[in-house]
Amino acid sequence: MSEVLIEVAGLTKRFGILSALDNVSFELRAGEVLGLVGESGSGKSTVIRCLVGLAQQTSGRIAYRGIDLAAATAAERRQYRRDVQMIFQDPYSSLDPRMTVQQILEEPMLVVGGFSARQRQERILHLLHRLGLKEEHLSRYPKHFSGGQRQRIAIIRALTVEPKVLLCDEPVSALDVSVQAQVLNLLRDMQKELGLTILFVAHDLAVVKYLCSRVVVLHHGIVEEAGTVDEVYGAPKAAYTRELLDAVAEPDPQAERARRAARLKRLAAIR
Amino acid sequence: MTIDNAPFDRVSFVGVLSRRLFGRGGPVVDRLALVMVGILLVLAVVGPWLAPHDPYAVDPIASLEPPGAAYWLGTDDTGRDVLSRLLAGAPLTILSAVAVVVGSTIIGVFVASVATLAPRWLDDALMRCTEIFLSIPSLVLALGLTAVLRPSLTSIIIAMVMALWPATARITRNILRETMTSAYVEAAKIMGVSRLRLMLRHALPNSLDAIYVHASMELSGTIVMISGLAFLGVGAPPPSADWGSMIAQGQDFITTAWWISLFPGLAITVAALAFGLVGGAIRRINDPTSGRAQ
Ligand SMILES: Nc1ncnc2c1ncn2[C@@H]1O[C@H](COP(=O)(O)OP(=O)(O)OP(=O)(O)O)[C@@H](O)[C@H]1O
Ligand SMILES: [Mg+2]
Repeated sequence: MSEVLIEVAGLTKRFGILSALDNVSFELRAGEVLGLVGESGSGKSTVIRCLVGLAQQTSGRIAYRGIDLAAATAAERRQYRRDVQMIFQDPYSSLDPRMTVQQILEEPMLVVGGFSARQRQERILHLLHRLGLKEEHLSRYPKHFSGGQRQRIAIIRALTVEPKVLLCDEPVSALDVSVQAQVLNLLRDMQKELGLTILFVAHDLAVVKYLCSRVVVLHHGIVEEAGTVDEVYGAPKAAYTRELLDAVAEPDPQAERARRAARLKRLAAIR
Repeated sequence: MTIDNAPFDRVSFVGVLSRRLFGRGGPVVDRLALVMVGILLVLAVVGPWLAPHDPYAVDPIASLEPPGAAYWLGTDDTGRDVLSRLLAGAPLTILSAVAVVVGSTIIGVFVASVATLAPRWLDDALMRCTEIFLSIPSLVLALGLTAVLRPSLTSIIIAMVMALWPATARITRNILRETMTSAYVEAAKIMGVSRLRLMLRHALPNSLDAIYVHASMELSGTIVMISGLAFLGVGAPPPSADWGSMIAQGQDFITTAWWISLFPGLAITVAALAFGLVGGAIRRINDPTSGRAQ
Protein backbone atom coordinates (compact mmCIF):
# COMPACT_ATOMS: atom_id res chain seq x y z
CA MET A 1 0.00 0.00 0.00
CA SER A 2 1.11 3.54 -0.62
CA GLU A 3 2.59 5.87 1.93
CA VAL A 4 0.38 7.37 4.65
CA LEU A 5 0.45 11.12 4.04
CA ILE A 6 -1.83 12.34 6.79
CA GLU A 7 -2.61 10.35 9.86
CA VAL A 8 -5.41 11.46 12.13
CA ALA A 9 -5.43 9.62 15.44
CA GLY A 10 -7.92 10.01 18.26
CA LEU A 11 -8.97 13.46 17.11
CA THR A 12 -11.38 14.97 19.62
CA LYS A 13 -12.86 18.46 19.51
CA ARG A 14 -15.27 19.90 22.03
CA PHE A 15 -17.12 23.18 21.79
CA GLY A 16 -18.08 23.70 25.41
CA ILE A 17 -20.10 20.62 26.28
CA LEU A 18 -20.79 19.74 22.66
CA SER A 19 -18.49 17.03 21.40
CA ALA A 20 -18.08 17.81 17.69
CA LEU A 21 -15.43 15.11 17.17
CA ASP A 22 -14.92 12.11 19.38
CA ASN A 23 -11.83 9.99 18.91
CA VAL A 24 -11.78 10.22 15.12
CA SER A 25 -9.01 8.27 13.43
CA PHE A 26 -8.24 7.69 9.76
CA GLU A 27 -5.40 7.69 7.33
CA LEU A 28 -5.01 9.55 4.07
CA ARG A 29 -2.78 7.59 1.71
CA ALA A 30 -0.73 9.06 -1.12
CA GLY A 31 -2.67 9.24 -4.37
CA GLU A 32 -6.06 8.20 -3.05
CA VAL A 33 -9.34 10.08 -2.95
CA LEU A 34 -10.83 9.54 0.46
CA GLY A 35 -14.46 10.44 1.03
CA LEU A 36 -15.65 11.80 4.35
CA VAL A 37 -19.42 11.58 4.57
CA GLY A 38 -22.05 12.26 7.17
CA GLU A 39 -25.16 14.32 7.68
CA SER A 40 -25.08 18.02 8.51
CA GLY A 41 -23.44 18.65 11.87
CA SER A 42 -21.60 15.35 11.95
CA GLY A 43 -18.25 17.14 12.24
CA LYS A 44 -16.89 16.92 8.69
CA SER A 45 -15.89 20.56 8.47
CA THR A 46 -14.41 20.41 11.94
CA VAL A 47 -12.06 17.64 10.82
CA ILE A 48 -10.87 19.83 7.95
CA ARG A 49 -10.57 22.92 10.12
CA CYS A 50 -8.38 20.99 12.55
CA LEU A 51 -6.27 19.72 9.66
CA VAL A 52 -5.57 23.23 8.34
CA GLY A 53 -5.14 24.82 11.74
CA LEU A 54 -8.27 26.98 11.71
CA ALA A 55 -9.41 25.05 14.78
CA GLN A 56 -7.33 23.55 17.56
CA GLN A 57 -8.26 20.02 18.54
CA THR A 58 -9.04 19.31 22.19
CA SER A 59 -6.95 16.18 21.99
CA GLY A 60 -5.62 13.78 19.41
CA ARG A 61 -2.82 13.78 16.95
CA ILE A 62 -2.38 14.90 13.37
CA ALA A 63 0.75 13.69 11.65
CA TYR A 64 2.04 14.52 8.20
CA ARG A 65 4.42 11.93 6.73
CA GLY A 66 5.00 10.57 10.19
CA ILE A 67 5.73 13.92 11.79
CA ASP A 68 3.35 15.01 14.52
CA LEU A 69 2.33 18.57 13.62
CA ALA A 70 2.26 19.59 17.26
CA ALA A 71 5.94 18.72 17.51
CA ALA A 72 6.94 19.84 14.02
CA THR A 73 9.64 22.42 13.39
CA ALA A 74 8.74 25.72 11.75
CA ALA A 75 10.18 24.51 8.46
CA GLU A 76 8.17 21.28 8.59
CA ARG A 77 5.02 23.23 9.30
CA ARG A 78 5.74 25.54 6.37
CA GLN A 79 6.15 22.51 4.17
CA TYR A 80 2.84 21.12 5.43
CA ARG A 81 1.05 24.40 4.73
CA ARG A 82 2.42 24.36 1.23
CA ASP A 83 1.71 20.68 0.57
CA VAL A 84 -1.83 20.72 1.95
CA GLN A 85 -4.26 23.13 0.32
CA MET A 86 -7.97 23.55 0.88
CA ILE A 87 -11.01 24.17 -1.32
CA PHE A 88 -13.90 25.84 0.47
CA GLN A 89 -17.54 25.01 0.08
CA ASP A 90 -18.74 28.42 -0.97
CA PRO A 91 -16.80 29.99 -3.83
CA TYR A 92 -18.77 33.20 -3.34
CA SER A 93 -17.11 33.92 -0.04
CA SER A 94 -13.73 32.24 -0.32
CA LEU A 95 -12.30 34.71 -2.87
CA ASP A 96 -11.41 38.20 -1.66
CA PRO A 97 -13.88 40.51 -3.47
CA ARG A 98 -11.35 43.34 -3.55
CA MET A 99 -8.65 41.42 -5.36
CA THR A 100 -8.37 40.75 -9.04
CA VAL A 101 -8.09 37.13 -10.14
CA GLN A 102 -4.41 37.81 -10.86
CA GLN A 103 -3.81 38.97 -7.29
CA ILE A 104 -5.82 36.07 -5.88
CA LEU A 105 -3.88 33.49 -7.85
CA GLU A 106 -0.53 35.06 -7.11
CA GLU A 107 -0.93 35.24 -3.38
CA PRO A 108 -0.09 31.64 -2.40
CA MET A 109 3.10 31.75 -4.47
CA LEU A 110 4.09 35.07 -2.91
CA VAL A 111 3.54 33.66 0.55
CA VAL A 112 5.41 30.43 -0.14
CA GLY A 113 8.18 32.35 -1.87
CA GLY A 114 10.80 31.16 -4.31
CA PHE A 115 8.84 31.86 -7.50
CA SER A 116 10.14 34.52 -9.86
CA ALA A 117 7.61 36.88 -11.42
CA ARG A 118 7.93 34.94 -14.67
CA GLN A 119 7.44 31.58 -13.04
CA ARG A 120 4.38 32.88 -11.25
CA GLN A 121 2.86 34.14 -14.46
CA GLU A 122 3.67 30.92 -16.30
CA ARG A 123 2.07 28.76 -13.65
CA ILE A 124 -1.01 30.95 -13.49
CA LEU A 125 -1.49 30.94 -17.25
CA HIS A 126 -0.86 27.21 -17.52
CA LEU A 127 -3.45 26.36 -14.86
CA LEU A 128 -5.85 29.00 -16.13
CA HIS A 129 -5.94 27.38 -19.55
CA ARG A 130 -6.00 23.89 -18.12
CA LEU A 131 -9.09 24.70 -16.09
CA GLY A 132 -10.87 26.45 -18.90
CA LEU A 133 -10.42 30.10 -18.01
CA LYS A 134 -8.91 32.83 -20.13
CA GLU A 135 -6.02 35.20 -19.69
CA GLU A 136 -8.35 38.19 -19.95
CA HIS A 137 -10.11 36.97 -16.80
CA LEU A 138 -7.04 37.84 -14.77
CA SER A 139 -7.83 41.52 -14.47
CA ARG A 140 -11.40 40.94 -13.33
CA TYR A 141 -12.86 40.72 -9.88
CA PRO A 142 -14.59 37.63 -8.43
CA LYS A 143 -18.02 39.23 -8.72
CA HIS A 144 -17.77 38.98 -12.50
CA PHE A 145 -17.72 35.18 -12.43
CA SER A 146 -20.30 32.48 -12.04
CA GLY A 147 -20.17 30.01 -9.16
CA GLY A 148 -18.55 27.31 -11.27
CA GLN A 149 -15.94 29.70 -12.61
CA ARG A 150 -15.19 30.92 -9.11
CA GLN A 151 -14.72 27.42 -7.80
CA ARG A 152 -12.32 26.78 -10.68
CA ILE A 153 -10.41 29.92 -9.68
CA ALA A 154 -10.27 28.57 -6.12
CA ILE A 155 -8.93 25.26 -7.43
CA ILE A 156 -6.28 27.04 -9.49
CA ARG A 157 -5.31 29.07 -6.43
CA ALA A 158 -4.82 25.88 -4.47
CA LEU A 159 -2.81 24.24 -7.26
CA THR A 160 -0.39 27.13 -7.90
CA VAL A 161 2.00 26.01 -5.18
CA GLU A 162 2.07 22.38 -6.35
CA PRO A 163 0.40 20.82 -3.33
CA LYS A 164 0.32 17.11 -2.63
CA VAL A 165 -2.98 17.07 -0.78
CA LEU A 166 -6.27 18.86 -1.44
CA LEU A 167 -8.80 19.10 1.34
CA CYS A 168 -12.18 19.74 -0.26
CA ASP A 169 -15.07 20.73 2.00
CA GLU A 170 -18.21 20.05 -0.05
CA PRO A 171 -16.67 21.86 -3.02
CA VAL A 172 -19.73 21.59 -5.26
CA SER A 173 -22.67 21.70 -2.88
CA ALA A 174 -23.02 25.48 -3.24
CA LEU A 175 -23.05 25.26 -7.03
CA ASP A 176 -25.85 24.87 -9.53
CA VAL A 177 -26.53 21.23 -10.22
CA SER A 178 -25.71 21.88 -13.87
CA VAL A 179 -22.09 22.82 -13.12
CA GLN A 180 -21.48 20.39 -10.26
CA ALA A 181 -20.46 17.56 -12.57
CA GLN A 182 -18.14 19.83 -14.53
CA VAL A 183 -16.25 20.91 -11.41
CA LEU A 184 -16.15 17.33 -10.08
CA ASN A 185 -14.72 16.10 -13.37
CA LEU A 186 -12.06 18.78 -13.28
CA LEU A 187 -11.12 17.80 -9.74
CA ARG A 188 -10.89 14.16 -10.78
CA ASP A 189 -8.82 14.99 -13.87
CA MET A 190 -6.44 17.17 -11.90
CA GLN A 191 -6.12 14.45 -9.29
CA LYS A 192 -5.11 11.94 -11.97
CA GLU A 193 -2.81 14.31 -13.84
CA LEU A 194 -0.98 15.63 -10.81
CA GLY A 195 -1.18 12.53 -8.65
CA LEU A 196 -2.97 14.50 -5.96
CA THR A 197 -4.26 13.05 -2.75
CA ILE A 198 -7.73 14.29 -1.92
CA LEU A 199 -9.83 14.30 1.19
CA PHE A 200 -13.32 14.87 -0.16
CA VAL A 201 -16.01 15.93 2.26
CA ALA A 202 -19.59 15.51 1.12
CA HIS A 203 -23.02 14.66 2.34
CA ASP A 204 -23.96 13.50 -1.15
CA LEU A 205 -23.16 9.80 -1.27
CA ALA A 206 -23.56 9.56 -5.02
CA VAL A 207 -20.79 12.12 -5.51
CA VAL A 208 -18.52 10.24 -3.14
CA LYS A 209 -19.15 6.98 -4.96
CA TYR A 210 -18.25 8.60 -8.25
CA LEU A 211 -15.03 10.16 -7.02
CA CYS A 212 -13.60 8.23 -4.11
CA SER A 213 -11.84 4.95 -3.61
CA ARG A 214 -12.30 4.77 0.15
CA VAL A 215 -14.80 6.36 2.46
CA VAL A 216 -15.10 7.27 6.14
CA VAL A 217 -18.59 7.62 7.57
CA LEU A 218 -18.94 10.16 10.35
CA HIS A 219 -21.95 10.42 12.65
CA HIS A 220 -22.21 12.81 15.59
CA GLY A 221 -18.43 13.14 15.58
CA ILE A 222 -17.82 9.41 15.69
CA VAL A 223 -16.42 7.27 12.88
CA GLU A 224 -19.21 4.76 12.23
CA GLU A 225 -17.51 2.87 9.47
CA ALA A 226 -14.55 3.07 7.12
CA GLY A 227 -13.55 1.04 4.12
CA THR A 228 -13.41 0.93 0.35
CA VAL A 229 -16.35 2.39 -1.51
CA ASP A 230 -17.37 -1.08 -2.70
CA GLU A 231 -17.35 -2.49 0.83
CA VAL A 232 -19.23 0.36 2.42
CA TYR A 233 -21.77 0.83 -0.35
CA GLY A 234 -22.15 -2.86 -1.11
CA ALA A 235 -22.39 -4.23 2.42
CA PRO A 236 -22.69 -1.45 4.97
CA LYS A 237 -21.84 -2.69 8.45
CA ALA A 238 -23.17 0.19 10.50
CA ALA A 239 -26.90 0.82 10.80
CA TYR A 240 -26.26 4.51 10.29
CA THR A 241 -24.55 3.91 6.96
CA ARG A 242 -27.52 1.87 5.78
CA GLU A 243 -29.80 4.75 6.74
CA LEU A 244 -27.65 7.18 4.81
CA LEU A 245 -27.64 4.92 1.77
CA ASP A 246 -31.39 4.36 1.92
CA ALA A 247 -31.99 8.08 2.09
CA VAL A 248 -30.32 8.57 -1.29
CA ALA A 249 -31.46 5.29 -2.84
CA GLU A 250 -32.02 5.81 -6.52
CA PRO A 251 -35.73 6.25 -7.15
CA ASP A 252 -37.50 3.25 -8.59
CA PRO A 253 -38.67 4.45 -12.02
CA GLN A 254 -41.83 2.37 -11.94
CA ALA A 255 -42.89 3.57 -8.51
CA GLU A 256 -42.07 7.09 -9.59
CA ARG A 257 -44.33 6.79 -12.67
CA ALA A 258 -47.19 5.44 -10.54
CA ARG A 259 -46.78 8.29 -8.06
CA ARG A 260 -46.94 10.89 -10.85
CA ALA A 261 -49.99 9.31 -12.40
CA ALA A 262 -51.78 9.37 -9.04
CA ARG A 263 -50.88 13.01 -8.57
CA LEU A 264 -52.18 13.95 -12.02
CA LYS A 265 -55.43 12.15 -11.30
CA ARG A 266 -55.80 14.10 -8.02
CA LEU A 267 -55.16 17.37 -9.83
CA ALA A 268 -57.71 16.49 -12.49
CA ALA A 269 -60.28 15.67 -9.81
CA ILE A 270 -59.80 19.10 -8.24
CA ARG A 271 -60.50 20.82 -11.54
CA MET B 1 -23.48 35.89 -16.29
CA THR B 2 -19.92 36.87 -16.86
CA ILE B 3 -19.01 40.43 -17.48
CA ASP B 4 -20.95 43.61 -17.12
CA ASN B 5 -19.36 46.49 -18.92
CA ALA B 6 -20.00 49.03 -16.22
CA PRO B 7 -18.05 52.22 -16.91
CA PHE B 8 -16.58 52.11 -13.41
CA ASP B 9 -15.21 48.64 -13.34
CA ARG B 10 -13.64 48.92 -9.95
CA VAL B 11 -14.63 47.61 -6.58
CA SER B 12 -13.79 50.87 -4.96
CA PHE B 13 -15.39 53.62 -3.00
CA VAL B 14 -14.90 56.15 -5.79
CA GLY B 15 -16.19 53.72 -8.39
CA VAL B 16 -19.26 52.90 -6.36
CA LEU B 17 -19.98 56.55 -5.63
CA SER B 18 -19.53 57.63 -9.23
CA ARG B 19 -21.80 54.84 -10.38
CA ARG B 20 -24.39 55.97 -7.90
CA LEU B 21 -24.02 59.55 -9.10
CA PHE B 22 -23.88 59.07 -12.86
CA GLY B 23 -25.36 55.63 -13.28
CA ARG B 24 -29.03 55.04 -13.84
CA GLY B 25 -31.50 54.22 -11.13
CA GLY B 26 -29.86 55.55 -7.98
CA PRO B 27 -32.25 57.18 -5.51
CA VAL B 28 -32.63 60.92 -6.09
CA VAL B 29 -31.89 61.66 -2.43
CA ASP B 30 -28.50 59.95 -2.64
CA ARG B 31 -27.69 61.88 -5.76
CA LEU B 32 -28.71 65.19 -4.20
CA ALA B 33 -26.69 64.45 -1.07
CA LEU B 34 -23.62 63.58 -3.15
CA VAL B 35 -23.94 66.77 -5.17
CA MET B 36 -24.39 68.80 -1.97
CA VAL B 37 -21.32 67.24 -0.40
CA GLY B 38 -19.34 67.99 -3.55
CA ILE B 39 -20.45 71.63 -3.54
CA LEU B 40 -19.76 71.98 0.18
CA LEU B 41 -16.26 70.56 -0.15
CA VAL B 42 -15.47 72.88 -3.08
CA LEU B 43 -16.86 75.86 -1.18
CA ALA B 44 -14.83 74.88 1.86
CA VAL B 45 -11.70 75.35 -0.23
CA VAL B 46 -12.50 78.23 -2.58
CA GLY B 47 -15.37 79.87 -0.63
CA PRO B 48 -13.38 82.82 0.75
CA TRP B 49 -12.39 83.87 -2.79
CA LEU B 50 -15.99 83.87 -3.97
CA ALA B 51 -17.15 86.37 -1.35
CA PRO B 52 -18.76 89.36 -3.11
CA HIS B 53 -17.86 91.69 -0.20
CA ASP B 54 -15.15 91.86 2.42
CA PRO B 55 -16.50 89.54 5.13
CA TYR B 56 -14.82 91.52 7.89
CA ALA B 57 -15.41 95.13 6.65
CA VAL B 58 -17.58 97.02 9.14
CA ASP B 59 -19.96 99.42 7.37
CA PRO B 60 -22.34 101.21 9.78
CA ILE B 61 -24.34 102.73 6.91
CA ALA B 62 -25.25 99.29 5.56
CA SER B 63 -26.08 97.69 8.90
CA LEU B 64 -29.02 95.29 9.22
CA GLU B 65 -29.85 95.41 5.50
CA PRO B 66 -32.44 92.71 4.66
CA PRO B 67 -31.64 90.26 1.85
CA GLY B 68 -31.77 92.09 -1.49
CA ALA B 69 -29.94 92.91 -4.69
CA ALA B 70 -26.87 94.47 -3.06
CA TYR B 71 -26.58 92.00 -0.20
CA TRP B 72 -28.15 88.72 -1.28
CA LEU B 73 -28.45 87.35 2.24
CA GLY B 74 -28.55 90.71 4.04
CA THR B 75 -26.03 92.28 6.45
CA ASP B 76 -25.45 91.99 10.18
CA ASP B 77 -25.58 94.70 12.85
CA THR B 78 -22.15 96.03 11.90
CA GLY B 79 -22.94 96.04 8.19
CA ARG B 80 -20.95 92.92 7.26
CA ASP B 81 -22.32 90.91 4.32
CA VAL B 82 -23.86 87.64 5.58
CA LEU B 83 -23.21 85.75 2.32
CA SER B 84 -19.55 86.77 2.30
CA ARG B 85 -19.21 85.73 5.92
CA LEU B 86 -20.87 82.37 5.20
CA LEU B 87 -18.42 81.76 2.37
CA ALA B 88 -15.48 82.91 4.46
CA GLY B 89 -16.65 80.69 7.29
CA ALA B 90 -17.05 77.56 5.17
CA PRO B 91 -13.44 76.40 5.60
CA LEU B 92 -13.54 77.13 9.33
CA THR B 93 -16.57 74.91 9.82
CA ILE B 94 -16.24 72.24 7.14
CA LEU B 95 -12.49 71.86 6.84
CA SER B 96 -12.05 71.70 10.60
CA ALA B 97 -14.79 69.06 10.75
CA VAL B 98 -13.01 67.14 7.99
CA ALA B 99 -9.73 67.49 9.88
CA VAL B 100 -11.37 66.19 13.04
CA VAL B 101 -12.87 63.16 11.29
CA VAL B 102 -9.70 62.37 9.34
CA GLY B 103 -7.71 62.60 12.56
CA SER B 104 -10.07 60.50 14.65
CA THR B 105 -10.49 57.93 11.86
CA ILE B 106 -6.73 57.51 11.44
CA ILE B 107 -6.22 57.06 15.17
CA GLY B 108 -9.33 54.92 15.57
CA VAL B 109 -8.50 52.61 12.65
CA PHE B 110 -4.91 52.30 13.81
CA VAL B 111 -5.91 51.37 17.37
CA ALA B 112 -8.57 48.98 16.04
CA SER B 113 -6.05 47.27 13.74
CA VAL B 114 -3.58 46.87 16.58
CA ALA B 115 -6.33 45.52 18.85
CA THR B 116 -7.46 43.05 16.19
CA LEU B 117 -3.95 41.74 15.63
CA ALA B 118 -2.82 41.93 19.24
CA PRO B 119 -2.98 39.16 21.81
CA ARG B 120 -6.15 38.99 23.86
CA TRP B 121 -4.85 40.95 26.88
CA LEU B 122 -3.71 43.94 24.79
CA ASP B 123 -6.98 43.93 22.88
CA ASP B 124 -8.86 43.97 26.18
CA ALA B 125 -6.67 46.74 27.57
CA LEU B 126 -7.18 48.91 24.49
CA MET B 127 -10.92 48.39 24.54
CA ARG B 128 -11.15 49.21 28.28
CA CYS B 129 -9.24 52.37 27.44
CA THR B 130 -11.77 53.39 24.79
CA GLU B 131 -14.59 52.64 27.23
CA ILE B 132 -13.17 55.12 29.73
CA PHE B 133 -13.14 57.79 27.04
CA LEU B 134 -16.60 56.81 25.87
CA SER B 135 -18.09 57.11 29.35
CA ILE B 136 -17.47 60.88 29.19
CA PRO B 137 -19.86 62.66 26.82
CA SER B 138 -17.80 63.90 23.88
CA LEU B 139 -19.07 67.48 24.12
CA VAL B 140 -18.01 67.69 27.77
CA LEU B 141 -14.68 66.09 26.96
CA ALA B 142 -14.10 68.52 24.09
CA LEU B 143 -15.07 71.53 26.26
CA GLY B 144 -12.78 70.37 29.06
CA LEU B 145 -9.85 69.71 26.77
CA THR B 146 -10.21 73.06 25.02
CA ALA B 147 -10.22 74.76 28.41
CA VAL B 148 -6.96 73.02 29.30
CA LEU B 149 -5.34 73.74 25.92
CA ARG B 150 -5.19 77.38 24.84
CA PRO B 151 -8.58 78.17 23.26
CA SER B 152 -8.08 78.28 19.49
CA LEU B 153 -9.37 76.48 16.45
CA THR B 154 -6.42 74.07 16.58
CA SER B 155 -7.11 73.08 20.17
CA ILE B 156 -10.80 72.56 19.32
CA ILE B 157 -9.75 70.20 16.56
CA ILE B 158 -7.34 68.35 18.84
CA ALA B 159 -9.96 68.15 21.59
CA MET B 160 -12.58 66.79 19.23
CA VAL B 161 -10.22 64.23 17.77
CA MET B 162 -9.52 63.07 21.31
CA ALA B 163 -13.24 62.94 21.99
CA LEU B 164 -14.15 61.01 18.85
CA TRP B 165 -11.44 58.43 18.16
CA PRO B 166 -12.55 55.94 20.84
CA ALA B 167 -15.95 55.42 19.21
CA THR B 168 -14.29 54.98 15.81
CA ALA B 169 -11.81 52.53 17.31
CA ARG B 170 -14.52 50.39 18.84
CA ILE B 171 -16.71 50.31 15.77
CA THR B 172 -13.76 49.65 13.47
CA ARG B 173 -12.54 46.84 15.70
CA ASN B 174 -15.92 45.15 15.48
CA ILE B 175 -15.96 45.61 11.70
CA LEU B 176 -12.45 44.15 11.42
CA ARG B 177 -13.31 41.24 13.71
CA GLU B 178 -16.24 40.43 11.48
CA THR B 179 -14.19 40.68 8.29
CA MET B 180 -11.50 38.49 9.83
CA THR B 181 -13.94 35.59 10.12
CA SER B 182 -14.88 35.62 6.43
CA ALA B 183 -13.90 32.65 4.31
CA TYR B 184 -11.46 34.59 2.13
CA VAL B 185 -9.52 35.73 5.18
CA GLU B 186 -9.50 32.15 6.48
CA ALA B 187 -8.34 30.98 3.06
CA ALA B 188 -5.46 33.43 3.22
CA LYS B 189 -4.72 32.42 6.80
CA ILE B 190 -4.27 28.76 5.97
CA MET B 191 -2.02 29.66 3.05
CA GLY B 192 0.26 31.08 5.70
CA VAL B 193 -0.29 34.77 4.96
CA SER B 194 1.24 36.82 7.76
CA ARG B 195 -1.07 38.56 10.20
CA LEU B 196 0.12 41.97 9.04
CA ARG B 197 -0.59 41.18 5.41
CA LEU B 198 -3.91 39.65 6.43
CA MET B 199 -4.83 42.98 7.95
CA LEU B 200 -3.43 45.28 5.25
CA ARG B 201 -4.30 43.24 2.19
CA HIS B 202 -7.59 41.58 3.15
CA ALA B 203 -9.30 42.81 6.31
CA LEU B 204 -8.78 46.57 5.98
CA PRO B 205 -9.66 46.94 2.29
CA ASN B 206 -12.81 44.93 2.84
CA SER B 207 -13.76 47.00 5.87
CA LEU B 208 -13.20 50.36 4.20
CA ASP B 209 -16.78 50.91 3.10
CA ALA B 210 -18.09 50.39 6.61
CA ILE B 211 -15.38 52.75 7.87
CA TYR B 212 -16.40 55.37 5.28
CA VAL B 213 -20.01 55.09 6.38
CA HIS B 214 -19.02 55.73 9.96
CA ALA B 215 -16.72 58.62 8.97
CA SER B 216 -19.36 60.39 6.95
CA MET B 217 -21.92 60.02 9.73
CA GLU B 218 -19.32 61.35 12.13
CA LEU B 219 -18.60 64.28 9.82
CA SER B 220 -22.24 65.22 10.09
CA GLY B 221 -22.15 65.15 13.89
CA THR B 222 -18.84 66.99 14.01
CA ILE B 223 -20.15 69.90 11.94
CA VAL B 224 -22.98 70.32 14.41
CA MET B 225 -20.65 69.97 17.38
CA ILE B 226 -18.04 72.41 16.10
CA SER B 227 -20.77 74.92 15.38
CA GLY B 228 -22.24 74.29 18.81
CA LEU B 229 -18.90 74.91 20.48
CA ALA B 230 -18.42 78.09 18.45
CA PHE B 231 -21.93 79.18 19.39
CA LEU B 232 -20.92 78.78 23.03
CA GLY B 233 -17.89 80.94 22.34
CA VAL B 234 -15.37 78.13 22.21
CA GLY B 235 -13.70 78.28 18.83
CA ALA B 236 -11.98 80.57 16.42
CA PRO B 237 -11.53 84.03 18.01
CA PRO B 238 -14.13 86.77 17.27
CA PRO B 239 -13.97 88.48 13.95
CA SER B 240 -13.80 85.09 12.30
CA ALA B 241 -16.97 84.02 10.58
CA ASP B 242 -17.52 80.39 11.46
CA TRP B 243 -21.16 79.42 11.24
CA GLY B 244 -21.73 78.72 14.92
CA SER B 245 -20.56 82.12 16.11
CA MET B 246 -22.54 83.79 13.30
CA ILE B 247 -25.73 82.35 14.81
CA ALA B 248 -24.64 83.60 18.23
CA GLN B 249 -23.97 87.11 16.86
CA GLY B 250 -27.42 87.24 15.31
CA GLN B 251 -29.21 86.11 18.47
CA ASP B 252 -30.03 89.62 19.69
CA PHE B 253 -31.65 90.50 16.37
CA ILE B 254 -33.55 87.28 15.80
CA THR B 255 -36.96 89.03 15.74
CA THR B 256 -35.92 92.04 13.66
CA ALA B 257 -33.07 90.76 11.46
CA TRP B 258 -33.73 87.01 11.23
CA TRP B 259 -31.37 86.58 8.28
CA ILE B 260 -28.23 87.00 10.39
CA SER B 261 -28.84 83.73 12.26
CA LEU B 262 -31.07 81.90 9.81
CA PHE B 263 -28.62 81.47 6.92
CA PRO B 264 -25.71 80.10 8.95
CA GLY B 265 -28.25 77.86 10.68
CA LEU B 266 -29.44 76.59 7.31
CA ALA B 267 -25.87 76.10 6.16
CA ILE B 268 -25.11 73.93 9.19
CA THR B 269 -28.30 71.94 8.71
CA VAL B 270 -27.69 71.33 5.01
CA ALA B 271 -24.07 70.35 5.60
CA ALA B 272 -24.91 67.97 8.45
CA LEU B 273 -27.77 66.45 6.49
CA ALA B 274 -25.75 66.00 3.30
CA PHE B 275 -22.85 64.23 4.99
CA GLY B 276 -25.24 62.05 6.96
CA LEU B 277 -27.17 61.09 3.82
CA VAL B 278 -23.99 60.21 1.97
CA GLY B 279 -23.15 57.81 4.78
CA GLY B 280 -26.56 56.23 4.33
CA ALA B 281 -26.03 56.06 0.57
CA ILE B 282 -22.74 54.20 0.95
CA ARG B 283 -24.39 51.81 3.36
CA ARG B 284 -27.25 51.14 0.96
CA ILE B 285 -24.89 50.57 -1.95
CA ASN B 286 -23.05 47.95 0.06
CA ASP B 287 -26.08 46.29 1.51
CA PRO B 288 -26.69 43.18 -0.59
CA THR B 289 -30.39 43.30 0.29
CA SER B 290 -30.79 46.71 -1.31
CA GLY B 291 -31.37 45.03 -4.64
CA ARG B 292 -28.79 46.98 -6.56
CA ALA B 293 -25.88 44.80 -5.60
CA GLN B 294 -24.58 42.54 -8.32
N1 LIG C 1 -17.05 27.37 16.21
C1 LIG C 1 -17.99 26.55 16.71
N2 LIG C 1 -18.51 26.78 17.93
C2 LIG C 1 -19.44 25.95 18.45
N3 LIG C 1 -19.90 24.86 17.85
C3 LIG C 1 -19.43 24.57 16.63
C4 LIG C 1 -18.43 25.40 15.99
N4 LIG C 1 -18.15 24.87 14.79
C5 LIG C 1 -18.91 23.76 14.66
N5 LIG C 1 -19.67 23.58 15.76
C6 LIG C 1 -20.60 22.46 15.99
O1 LIG C 1 -19.90 21.27 15.77
C7 LIG C 1 -20.73 20.31 15.11
C8 LIG C 1 -20.06 19.84 13.85
O2 LIG C 1 -20.03 20.92 12.93
P1 LIG C 1 -19.40 20.81 11.48
O3 LIG C 1 -19.47 22.16 10.87
O4 LIG C 1 -18.08 20.16 11.56
O5 LIG C 1 -20.44 19.83 10.77
P2 LIG C 1 -20.50 19.40 9.24
O6 LIG C 1 -20.47 17.93 9.23
O7 LIG C 1 -19.45 20.11 8.46
O8 LIG C 1 -21.93 19.88 8.82
P3 LIG C 1 -22.41 20.52 7.43
O9 LIG C 1 -22.71 19.37 6.51
O10 LIG C 1 -23.67 21.26 7.81
O11 LIG C 1 -21.35 21.42 6.92
C9 LIG C 1 -22.05 20.99 14.87
O12 LIG C 1 -22.95 20.57 15.86
C10 LIG C 1 -21.74 22.46 15.01
O13 LIG C 1 -22.86 23.13 15.51
MG1 LIG D 1 -19.46 21.58 6.89
